[in-house]
Amino acid sequence: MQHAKQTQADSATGRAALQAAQALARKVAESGIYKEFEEASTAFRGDAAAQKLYRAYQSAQQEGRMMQSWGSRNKGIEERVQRLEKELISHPTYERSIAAQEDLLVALKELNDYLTAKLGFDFADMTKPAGGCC
Amino acid sequence: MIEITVQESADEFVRVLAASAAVRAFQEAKASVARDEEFLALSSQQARMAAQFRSKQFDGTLTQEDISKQRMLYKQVTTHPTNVRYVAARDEVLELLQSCNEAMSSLLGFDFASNAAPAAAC
Repeated sequence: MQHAKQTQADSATGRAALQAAQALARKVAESGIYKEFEEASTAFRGDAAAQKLYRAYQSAQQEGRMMQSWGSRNKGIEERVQRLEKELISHPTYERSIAAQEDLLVALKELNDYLTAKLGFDFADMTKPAGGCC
Repeated sequence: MIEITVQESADEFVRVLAASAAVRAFQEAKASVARDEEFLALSSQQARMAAQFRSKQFDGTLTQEDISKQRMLYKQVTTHPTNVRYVAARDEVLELLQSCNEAMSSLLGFDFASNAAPAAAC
């Protein structure tokens, strides 16, 4: 009887915690930083020139890595990677999406620091999926 | 700087979590670990031995006695009542926290915890 009451109370608390977590996520999604992140990401995905440049950069990077894994260096590829990287980071929609992503990450970390200070344990660090180091 | 509406929701989330049996049990178990000097001494002895074990393994000077000692200490730590209580409480609270993270992540479109966690030290 006591156990049944406890289980009921636990599942009620669990539901309340899930609702509170969803309410918090909704407020994050309504924040200016998140909206800018969404808009900047959409703008970058919809910018054909930026996407073409991004794909070219990724492909050159991959080519460079393959050459490196075979133990050879190709100055032409290295220069191409550097040139494309320079072009990409100065492309307005890419620059905007990276800045928005960085701002959002800072805000998420601040929110986690806030939760951590109040709870007495690191919410995100304890909860994140297990993964390899680096 | 956290937006005020986000902060209010964060406060409510913390309030609900802190009132849950799982979080309370975890906080108590954590405090018990910090108070149990015998367990802390055993645990740090095991950590010291594990470091020596690895260095002997690297040097090729590891003996059967080292292996037995390490096994015994590991068993003593993992079966210590304070540790058993802590691990059970941690597993239970993790279940609740992971459900909360999943609920948040599905609304945000990315994993909240992975992005908000401090960078891993390697």
